[in-house]
Amino acid sequence: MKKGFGIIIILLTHLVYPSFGQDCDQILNAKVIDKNTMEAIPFASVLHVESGQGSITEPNGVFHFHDRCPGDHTLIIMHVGYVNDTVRINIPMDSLLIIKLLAKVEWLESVDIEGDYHAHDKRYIGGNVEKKSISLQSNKNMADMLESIEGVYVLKTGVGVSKPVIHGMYGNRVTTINRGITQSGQQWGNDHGPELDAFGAEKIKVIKGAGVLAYDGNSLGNVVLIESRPIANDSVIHGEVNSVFQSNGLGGTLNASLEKNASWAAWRVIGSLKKMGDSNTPDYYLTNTGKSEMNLSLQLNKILFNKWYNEIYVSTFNTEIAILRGSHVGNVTDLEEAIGRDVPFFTEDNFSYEINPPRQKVQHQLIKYEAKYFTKPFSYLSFKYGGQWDKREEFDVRRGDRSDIPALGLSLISHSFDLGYQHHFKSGHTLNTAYQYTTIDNTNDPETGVLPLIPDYLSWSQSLYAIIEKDKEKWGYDFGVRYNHRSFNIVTISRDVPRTIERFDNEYNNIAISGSIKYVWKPGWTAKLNASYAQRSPEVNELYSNGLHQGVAAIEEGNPDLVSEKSFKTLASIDWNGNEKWHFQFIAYFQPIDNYIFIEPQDEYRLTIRGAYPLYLYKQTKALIYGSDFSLDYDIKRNFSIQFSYSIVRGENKGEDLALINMPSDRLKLNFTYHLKEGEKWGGGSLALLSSYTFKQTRLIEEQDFMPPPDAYFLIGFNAGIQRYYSKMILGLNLRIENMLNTSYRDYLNRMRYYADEVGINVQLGVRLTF
Amino acid sequence: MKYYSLFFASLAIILLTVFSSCDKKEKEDPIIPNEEELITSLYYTLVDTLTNDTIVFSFKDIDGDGGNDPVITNADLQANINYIAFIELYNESVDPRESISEEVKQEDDHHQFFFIYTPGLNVTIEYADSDDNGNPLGLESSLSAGEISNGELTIILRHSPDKNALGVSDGLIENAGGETDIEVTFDITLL
Repeated sequence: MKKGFGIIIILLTHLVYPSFGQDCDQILNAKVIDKNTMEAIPFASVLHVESGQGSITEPNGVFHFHDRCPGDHTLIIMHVGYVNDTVRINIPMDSLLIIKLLAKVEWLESVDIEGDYHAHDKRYIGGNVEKKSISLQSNKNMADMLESIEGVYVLKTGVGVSKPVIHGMYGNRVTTINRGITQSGQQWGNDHGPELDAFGAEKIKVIKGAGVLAYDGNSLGNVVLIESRPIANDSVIHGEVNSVFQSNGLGGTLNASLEKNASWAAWRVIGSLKKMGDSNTPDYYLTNTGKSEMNLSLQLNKILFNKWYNEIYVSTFNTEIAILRGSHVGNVTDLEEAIGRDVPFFTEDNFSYEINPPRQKVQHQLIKYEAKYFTKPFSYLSFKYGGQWDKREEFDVRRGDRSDIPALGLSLISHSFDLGYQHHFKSGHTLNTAYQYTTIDNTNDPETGVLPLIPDYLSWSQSLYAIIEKDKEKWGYDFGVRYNHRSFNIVTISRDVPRTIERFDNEYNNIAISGSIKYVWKPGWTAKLNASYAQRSPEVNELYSNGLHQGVAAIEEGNPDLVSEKSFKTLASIDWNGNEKWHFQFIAYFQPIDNYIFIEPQDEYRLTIRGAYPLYLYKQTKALIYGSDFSLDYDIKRNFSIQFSYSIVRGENKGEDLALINMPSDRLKLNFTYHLKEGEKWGGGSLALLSSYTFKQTRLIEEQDFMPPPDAYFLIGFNAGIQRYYSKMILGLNLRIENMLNTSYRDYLNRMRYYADEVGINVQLGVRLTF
Repeated sequence: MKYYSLFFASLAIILLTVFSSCDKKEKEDPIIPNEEELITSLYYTLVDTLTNDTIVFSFKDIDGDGGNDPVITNADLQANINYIAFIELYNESVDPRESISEEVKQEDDHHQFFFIYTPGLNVTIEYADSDDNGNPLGLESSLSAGEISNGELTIILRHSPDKNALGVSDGLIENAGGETDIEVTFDITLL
C-alpha cells in the first residue's frame, strides 16, 4: 500500500547518506539484475535497513556497503519500473550476491493489464520490445519491432511503410497509444504507417483484456502501447547515444537522449535522425525506396506537494518515404504488366539516396499535458490533454511540373481530453473510470488539383468507462464496460459536374464489455480466460471514400449506410513455467464479427479515360477470425536455450464462404540463444541464431487477388551483442544480420509483392552508450 | 486539502478554456480543387488525304473518374484510303476548355502514344511526329486503311515510358513501362 508514496519520496530525495564508523569491517557486495533479461540494473536505490544507510548501484549493477558487522542484514532494493525487493542476507558472504528484480508493468499506476502472453518473450534476443531492444532496432519502424512478438505480423507497403497485424486485426481495428495519447492521423490507408518515433520508450506493448477499454480509439480489442519511461531519479545528467548502421540501403540512424532530475523539474530530451537509401534485393536495387526521418521530443515531470504529478510531453515527427518507382501504376493493364516482370520497371543500376515521386511526406506534432492528484497511494484523480497535428502529403509522378504538388494532401487536427479517477480499495480491488472527449478536424489541401479520396470532416467522440480489477498471486480477475458515442459532420464534393458540395451527418453508439480471469492452479501453471464484446463504428474512409485509389489501381466507393461491427472474442491461454528448464505457452482465440467491414472487388468495371478500373465497394459480412500461438522454451544448459514458436491465423468471410484477404499465413520460428558469462567489466553478452519459416497463404481463390500469394520462405538471422561496463557508463555493441542466406522471396502481406522481391541480406551494426 | 482545491481550480480553468474554444460547429465548405491535370476528352481526328473530309472519334468523360459513364463516339472509315490522324486532349470540365495536348507536346520526351488494334482490322498506323531525341510521340500519325474489315483500336498514352527499350520506338508497348495516362478503345469499321 505504501509503495506508491515510497516511490514518490525516493524521487524527491536522494538516498546517499554519510556512513558512520563502526567496529565491524565486513564488506557487503551485491549485484542487482533484471530477473527476465538478466541484465544489470544501474542506478537502483538500495537501503540498508539496520543502519538506514543508502547506496545506488553502479552502471554494472553492483553496489557495496563497507564496514558491516557479521550477521543478518536486510536490504531493500528499489528502482523505478521494478517491483521493490527485500533481501535478508548473512555476512560474511563467500560470493557476490545476485539480486533479481522483477520489472513492473506500470509506474505510479496499475491500470494496464499487459498482454502477458508474450511476457516471457523478454528473454528472446532481439525478440522483445523492451527499451534496449527498441534502441537496437531504432533503424526500423515501430511496427517492425513488434514482429518479434508471437501472433503479430506486419502489413507493409514496400520498404518504408509498415503497420501491425495483431491476431488478424489491422488498420482501423488496431489502436496505437503513444505515450498515453491515442495516435491520430490518416491511418485508414494500408500504405500509411503509424507516425511516431519509438526510440526512448520504455516498452512497446500489445495489450488485451479489460485494460483495452481504457483507451480511446476504435479498436476491436487490440491496442499497441508505446510507453514513456519515468525519468531517472538522479540530479546528474543521464542519457543514451545510440547509432545503427545498416548495409542494405546504406542507412544510418542516430538517436540521443538526455535526462536529469533537476530541482525545478525532471526533464528529458530525445532526438532521432534516420537516413536510408535504396534497398536492394539479392538481384537488383529497389529504386526509390529511401527514407529520411527527423524527430525531437521533450518530456517534463514535476511532482508538486508530494501528491500532484505533472507531465508535459511535446514531440515532432517528420519523415519522407520514397515508394518503389516500379510500383506506381496508371491502370490495371500497367499492374498486370508489372506483375509479369522479373525486375521491376524503372530499376536503376546504381544506388541512390534520392527520394523521388512517388513519395510520402508526413509531419506529426504532439503536445500532451497529464496530471495526477494522489488522494492515497494508488488512488488518484487524473487529467490528460493531447493535441495533435498531422500533415500528410503524397506525391505522385505527374505531368507538367506537378510532381512537387501533392496528389493527396491532408491535414488533421485533434484534441483529446481524459478526466479519470483511480481508486484502490482496501479489499485489493482497483477501480479505474474516466470520461474522454476527442475532436478531429480533417481538411484536404485544395492545391492538389485532384478530387479528394477522403472527404473533409469533423468528428466528435465521447466515452465513459469503468474497469475493476483484482490481482492476487493465485488468482485475479478484471471486468470493464465502455460506452462511446461518435458523430461525424462530413462534407463531400460531388463526382458530377458542375461540382457541388454535399453534407452528411453520421452518428454511432458503441458498447464494449470485457472480463478476464486468471487462475494459478498449481505452482507454475497459469490459465487465463478473457471474453469481450466490442463494437467498432465505421471510419470516414469506409463511409465516404470515393474515387480512384491510385496506389491500388482501383475505384473505391464508401458506403454511408454501414453500421457498427460487433465482435465477440474469447481468448484463452495456458502458461507453464514449472521448472527452470522448460517453459511453454499456448494461446487460442476465437472472434466472430458481425457486420465485418471489408472492401470487395465487384464484377463491375468503371470505364475512365485511363481504361477500365475494377470497382471496389465497402461491404459488411459475417466474419470469423481465429487462431493460436504456441511457444516453447527449453534451456539445454543454464546459458543455452532453444525457443520454438508457431502461430496460425484464419479469417473467414462467412457470408460468402471465402477466406478474408490480408490474413497472415502460418509462421514457425526456431531460435537458439547462448548467453555469455557475466563478468565484472563485460556482461550482457549473447549470441543468437534466429530462423523463421513463413508458409504460403493457400486459402484465397484466384478471383480475390491480381496474382496468387507468393511462395513460402525460410529466413535465417544472427544476432550478437555484448556490453562493456565503465565506471560511469555502459558501452553496448551489437551485430545483427537479417536474411543471412540472401534469399529472394516475396511476402503476402507486402503490397510490393506484385512488383519486386523483398530486401536481401542486411548487416546491422549498433553502438549504444548509456550513462 | 488546500492542494486538492488548487488541483481542481487549475483543472476547471483548463477545461473551461478548452471547451469554450472548441464548440461544436459545422465543417466549413471545402475549396473545390482546380483539376487542371484532368483529361476528360480525347478526339481522334482523321483527314481523308483525297477528299480532305474529316472523321472524328471521341471519348468524353466530363466528370472525370467515377460519376457518369463516358460518352464514346465511333465512326466508319473508307477502305483503301490513307488518312492523316491527329489526337487532341482536353479538360472539358471547365469553361473554356483547357488543352492538354499542349502539355503533352511540351514534355514530348516523357510521353508516347501507342495504337493497338485487333488483328482483323485491316489498317497500318505510323507515327508522323517525334520528340527532340527523334523518338516518336504520336499526337500526329497516319492511318492507311486496307480492305473492308472491322475491329477495335485502342489508343494508349504512356507517361515516362522507356522509349529506348526494344521495339518501343516502333510502337510496340510491351517493353515501354511507365504509367498509363490514357487508354481508350474505339470500334472501327472500314466500308
